[in-house]
Amino acid sequence: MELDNIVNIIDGQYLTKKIQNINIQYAGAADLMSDILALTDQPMILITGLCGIQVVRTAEMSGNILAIIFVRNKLPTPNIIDEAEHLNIPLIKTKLSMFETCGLLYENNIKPVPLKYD
Amino acid sequence: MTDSDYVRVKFPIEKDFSTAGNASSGLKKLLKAVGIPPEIMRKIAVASFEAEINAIAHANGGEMDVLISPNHITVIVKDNGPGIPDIKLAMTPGYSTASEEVRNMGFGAGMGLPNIKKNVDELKIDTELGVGTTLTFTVYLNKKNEST
Repeated sequence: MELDNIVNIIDGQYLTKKIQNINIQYAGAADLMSDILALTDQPMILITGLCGIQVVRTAEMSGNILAIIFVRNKLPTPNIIDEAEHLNIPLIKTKLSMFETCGLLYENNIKPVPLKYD
Repeated sequence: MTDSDYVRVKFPIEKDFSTAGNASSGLKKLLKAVGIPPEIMRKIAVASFEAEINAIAHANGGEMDVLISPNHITVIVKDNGPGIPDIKLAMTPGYSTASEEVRNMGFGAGMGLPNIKKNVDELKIDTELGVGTTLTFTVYLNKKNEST
């Protein structure tokens, strides 16, 4: 699904400039960075309630986070938005809760990241 | 093989959560510049980021020492922290001794060492209580060279 469609579904707003042709198949939701890093074996969109610089740093390191959704209208500071723009990682905010955001995307056929268990 | 086939770079790790990830970010840029394949780059970046966070969350920062050879990439992250009393326990997913302050910043999920292990081919942990911890991990560029 195109990122723009996801933004519409969650009644979201871009905090960074739009990047065309980002196609999202998988999503993962977490507030702890190591949990996020453990999720990112596939290209995905991240849903989080954490909005420090480390979220963007985590996305940079994972290389598989195509965009980040901040839930409950949480707003990262301008320097975090600048860093995300620099790294070409779109940031989106929504007034919805993490549960509602996940539910709506799941209902619209965005799949959970496949987890590998030992 | 000659010395010129190797690249060795050191990155300082400062005790500052606002700059946590700078060493790993520098390393990832270096790996990209020397043409390391994306999936290998991702594994090294995730492992080095976790190790860097550990050095900041549990010690006073430290140093990241990186060796890039034609066959493998080895990263050594050394800190002068309190050491790990029980490595087996520390390797258990979800186990963390991180402070509440550290957790509030999004660290301390108890997935750091398991995430490192998952992404590398070899992991060695040298730790001494009251002295510090050194993590050495290696990712092979070509699995056929693993035993050579």
